[in-house]
Amino acid sequence: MNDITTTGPATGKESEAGRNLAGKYLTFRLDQEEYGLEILKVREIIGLMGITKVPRTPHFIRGVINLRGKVIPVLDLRSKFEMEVIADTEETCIIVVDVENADGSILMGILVDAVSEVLDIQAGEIEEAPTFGSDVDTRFILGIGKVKNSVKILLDIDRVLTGVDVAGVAGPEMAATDTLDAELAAALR
Amino acid sequence: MDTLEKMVEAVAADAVMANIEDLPALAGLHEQFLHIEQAATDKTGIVSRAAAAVARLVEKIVLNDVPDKSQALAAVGDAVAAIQKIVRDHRPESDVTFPPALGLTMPAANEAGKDRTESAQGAALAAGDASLTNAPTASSDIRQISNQKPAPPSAAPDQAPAAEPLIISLENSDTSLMGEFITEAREHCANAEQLLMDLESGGDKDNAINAIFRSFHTIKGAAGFMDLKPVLVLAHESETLLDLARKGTIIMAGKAADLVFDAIDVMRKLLDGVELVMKNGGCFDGGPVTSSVLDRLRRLIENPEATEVGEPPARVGDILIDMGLVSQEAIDTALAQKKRVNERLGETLIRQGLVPAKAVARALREQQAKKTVVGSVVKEVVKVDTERLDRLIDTIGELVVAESMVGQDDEILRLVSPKVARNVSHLNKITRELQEMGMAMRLVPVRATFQKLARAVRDLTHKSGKEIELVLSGEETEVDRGIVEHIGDPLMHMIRNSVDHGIESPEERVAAGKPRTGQITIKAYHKGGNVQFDICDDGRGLDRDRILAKARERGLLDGGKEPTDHEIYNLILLPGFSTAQKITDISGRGVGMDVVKKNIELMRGHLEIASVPGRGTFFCIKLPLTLAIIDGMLVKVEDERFIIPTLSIVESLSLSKETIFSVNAKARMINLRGELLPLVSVSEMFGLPPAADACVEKTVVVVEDATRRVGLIVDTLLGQRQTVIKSLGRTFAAQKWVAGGAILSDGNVGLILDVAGMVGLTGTHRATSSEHGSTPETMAQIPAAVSAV
Repeated sequence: MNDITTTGPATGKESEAGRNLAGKYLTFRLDQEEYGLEILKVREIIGLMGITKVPRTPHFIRGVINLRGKVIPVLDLRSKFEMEVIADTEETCIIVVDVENADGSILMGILVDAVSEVLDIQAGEIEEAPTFGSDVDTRFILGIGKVKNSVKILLDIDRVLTGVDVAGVAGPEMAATDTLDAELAAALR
Repeated sequence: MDTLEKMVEAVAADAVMANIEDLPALAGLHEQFLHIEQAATDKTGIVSRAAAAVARLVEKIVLNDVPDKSQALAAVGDAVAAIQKIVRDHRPESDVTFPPALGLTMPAANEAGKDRTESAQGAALAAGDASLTNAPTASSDIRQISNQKPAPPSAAPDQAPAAEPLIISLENSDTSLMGEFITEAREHCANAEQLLMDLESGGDKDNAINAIFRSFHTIKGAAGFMDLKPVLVLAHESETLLDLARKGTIIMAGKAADLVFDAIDVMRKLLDGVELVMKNGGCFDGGPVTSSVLDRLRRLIENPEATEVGEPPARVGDILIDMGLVSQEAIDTALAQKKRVNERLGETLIRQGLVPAKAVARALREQQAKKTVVGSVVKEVVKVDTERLDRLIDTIGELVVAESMVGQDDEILRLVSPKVARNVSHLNKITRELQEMGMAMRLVPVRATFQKLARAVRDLTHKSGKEIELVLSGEETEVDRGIVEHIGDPLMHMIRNSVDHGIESPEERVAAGKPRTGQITIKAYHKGGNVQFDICDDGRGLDRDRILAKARERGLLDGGKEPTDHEIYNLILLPGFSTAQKITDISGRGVGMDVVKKNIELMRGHLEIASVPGRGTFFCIKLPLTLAIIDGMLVKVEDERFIIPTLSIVESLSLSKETIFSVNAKARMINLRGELLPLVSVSEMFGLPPAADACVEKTVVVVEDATRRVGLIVDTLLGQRQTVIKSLGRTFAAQKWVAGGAILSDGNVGLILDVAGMVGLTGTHRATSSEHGSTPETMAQIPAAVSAV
């Protein structure tokens, strides 16, 4: 993926996307690639801890963890992006993010190879997500940040973790819950 | 002197806190003063005498033998202050002033004492004394506060209700206080309503009216401060009416009580209006809502028709008769005389030598005691934001886990130091205590819910023209806050059903040989780790045949089989099932019973129905004590651990080859004392990778849901655990086999299995979903509903 710089529309000017996206990003590594997450979405970063597997869920759901008394799901980003799954290392960690969807926000953990740094990316350094043809799904990408000589893929984490994908975790029956129960459930919670 | 000083300090604190209604506390005060009298005897004469005098005064207050109780109580406070001066500050007795109400003969030096420089306080006390003898009555006080409308009965006609501008606008008000005011005023409304209901059911009249009066008075004061004219006017008029009731001009029953109920309702509407204005701005005209009730209030105040006479709960005469000291005739004659002479019944009796004075005193005391039982003790409460409370409980939960992680740590356990062991166990004890307290904080009494029901029955009874008595018991039963919030609607629904369809009209009841007045009983109590609500009416009962016919008509039953009573009654829980011939505005039988059932199941509860034709219907709701905790068996399967709710476990046994049968070489069955149960391997079902130290000896846990029993094959049982249920969140909402997560002692998450969901899974595995019960479906919605603690 290091060849994006050559294929991307390197205009050099501030793009529309760039102006909206400028800001602080938490960058992390996944295989050989660098990704960026809007810092406002990040709740905290925790080291690897005991993850309880939840059977009968999609492969990219690693399981659930106890985040100081709250049970939150953990998603293996490598698995989600269909990269080669490797054994956890010393550097592997969980980034806890606030995911927003139609029903409000939930906390979710994402498992990444290593956390790099917090970067302030200027509008001029951001370009719109290029198209790679049908092979590469760019819906998860907000834009591409070019900082110094490296490229950061800025993720739309809400897209990555919700919508079709969480429904996929939940299974098709989810829609069967009728509104009354949903209301009650919300109230009970 | 030290002990005496301590005693005086203690009594001073109690005297300040004392309340004229709180008879037990006053009795305690009395006792304390007597002790002081004893303790002081040989030291300072004045303290002893003063203490004795105060004790007498307190006794008088208790016996209702003073013209104005609150003034007398104030005098007690002054006297204590004086005693304190002598005892603590070692002032000479000439330096202090005792209130004249004590009837204490003071040394002549007292006058001189007033001239001294530090006697400013003494002068203040003396001023207080003056007000004691020469004070305006409580009611005229109130008139002064509400200066804009004195509203004595004669003044009322001048005020036409329509003429008042009753616009609420918050332009000049302090909105930051407004929210608090609304909450508080609503509480006062609820409180007044409750008291009014107590009053109707024969509670302590004076106390209740006084308390209702105070509720309105508080609202009035605050409304004046907040500049809420309509609220102020309504509170004022209600207060005036209650004042008349206090004085006995109006009897607080029947029409008057209805009017106060209406006033409370209108007050609530006004408060809603205020809230609306607060949210959306603009203004709210309270005129239309209030005018009718204001008009009625004023008319009643103007023309008090004190026709209905309520019976006091216990009369001295009756008590004396019960004691076998006098006959009814003697009392009657004494009463007749008493009216002429205008003295108390006891006095008449003593004068006539019918009973000894001591017996009358005892009867009076008994009368007081009866009143005390009725008057409830007010507990001190602090309001806390629920969110903050939840966070506290969450944090306690984390502390418990952290504590057990430390306490169970191998390295800590290896330490031999007795000091560390002691400290760790101390920490453990405190943590447990904190956990229990945290759990208790989630619990609230069901009183508020019951109160709403009582009110609803009262209104429905009026509407339906039936005579119904509602008997409530166990109002103090404490249940989880989440349950209290969600039990109200189902209960209300069932009560409506009972009123509308269960209880017959008075004529019908008499014809059936039953008392005219129907009875609905609601009982809340704890039973075996559950909370139970019994709703019972003595009406006509469920019409078994009609339900059956309706079910046949709708094709809900298999033609041939004769259903049991239990099955028939459960039919009314089906959606849209109604046998009502006419639908009234109160309810249509059966409509919504499915919602009731759903709501109860959402709280992990059960609903049971029993009915005897002509005798009544009985509903029993069983709910867990708390939504937060589940009792479960921790089991190990390969490398994973799961929790099976103990409620669902029938038994467990070790797996032996002899008892297993295979079907089609794939499905397995176990023969459990003649009963064949399908066997399911949890490991296979979840596709778990085999553990390194694979377990050879497997265990079968027999579980059941509402319809079936299944044997689950697990590796080992790790023991029973009480765990806090944590929601897994929406992400796993469709995983019907998991009821939630639990934090295990090592801090990891354990998954709680949902037995119904598991059984459901096995059904699809074998593709023989012969029974399509509604239970697995509804049970599976629970994970989403389980509160995250």
